[in-house]
Amino acid sequence: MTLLPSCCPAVLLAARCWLLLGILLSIATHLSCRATNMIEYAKILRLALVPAILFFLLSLVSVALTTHYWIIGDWIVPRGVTVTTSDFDQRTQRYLTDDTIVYFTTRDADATIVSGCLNLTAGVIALIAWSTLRKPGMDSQLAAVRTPAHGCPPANS
Amino acid sequence: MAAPLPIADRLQGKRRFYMIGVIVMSIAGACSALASITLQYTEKGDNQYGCRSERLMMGGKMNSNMYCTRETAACNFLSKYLRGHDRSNATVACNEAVGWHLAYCPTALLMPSHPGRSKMAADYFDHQCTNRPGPLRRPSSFTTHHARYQNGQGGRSGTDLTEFQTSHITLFTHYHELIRRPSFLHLSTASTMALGALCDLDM
Repeated sequence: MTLLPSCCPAVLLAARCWLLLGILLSIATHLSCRATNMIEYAKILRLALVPAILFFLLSLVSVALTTHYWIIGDWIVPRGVTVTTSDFDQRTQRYLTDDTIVYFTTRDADATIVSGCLNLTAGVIALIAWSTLRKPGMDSQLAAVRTPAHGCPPANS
Repeated sequence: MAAPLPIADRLQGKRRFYMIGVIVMSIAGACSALASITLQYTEKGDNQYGCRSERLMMGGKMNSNMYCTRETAACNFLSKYLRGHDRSNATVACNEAVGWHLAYCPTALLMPSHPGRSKMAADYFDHQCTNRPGPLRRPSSFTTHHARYQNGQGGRSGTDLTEFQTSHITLFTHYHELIRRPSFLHLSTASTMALGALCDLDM
């Protein structure tokens, strides 16, 4: 694996920001859970809102743009093209043309849109969850019934 | 083991319900994105534009039919042969289809520069983040190296590509090919979301 040392920065650089964010958030949640032995529920909910909104917006933008290029391809841009080939016709003294019709293989773009819509739904569910679970007094209610069997183990166990 | 109070139990159930909903949806979205990534490779044709073409007689004339994915059609074929407004529309479609590596460009700012950081990696990202998306390009230093190599002028020491650099180019090309589709973004965000929801469910 001679490739590994030099490709690492690039791979790290580009891809794993979201994943890192998610992992850090969950670790932080667990740590605060363990440290206080009582969920600071409101705080965690507020923290959870950030990735949910980010996810929702990303999916929204992605679905919008994917649909847009779908529409452009299907309805706006003409698909019959006259291609000038490099064959020269001696008789007519001009290059031969080739009338080409482009057909789209749609399956991959369809799969992209489907995944975008599923992600959008997941984002909506996350936002609904956030607004439903955000009730006044939730903090004390949950803290009151925290038992070792149920959630965070006590700090001294 | 004390039985939880009914009210709290109800809330816990609610939370579980929503989190399972998020997990199921995210995993479905990730699977679909994976399918899309796979299809982008399997649907690719073998002619110069990345399409599958056939010739047939139509109305007494020979015509060509081309079967392309939307991306290759917009980027490699239509934006080359259309004129005027149609061409700019095709370019827009191309950018929307394969310009998604730009979404990762802000993360380049987070990367601290250190002595061991690969010059090539930096070069590559500078290039890809400052240029317009479109048909796959290689960073300029790669391209000049590559051109020299292919023209047989690489005899001087230090100008021709080492095996290491060649594998670098291959790796970066594949990597770029992967991250510039929206489906890769879908895959990474959905998996993150599923993981986060799983952690929350576990809490």
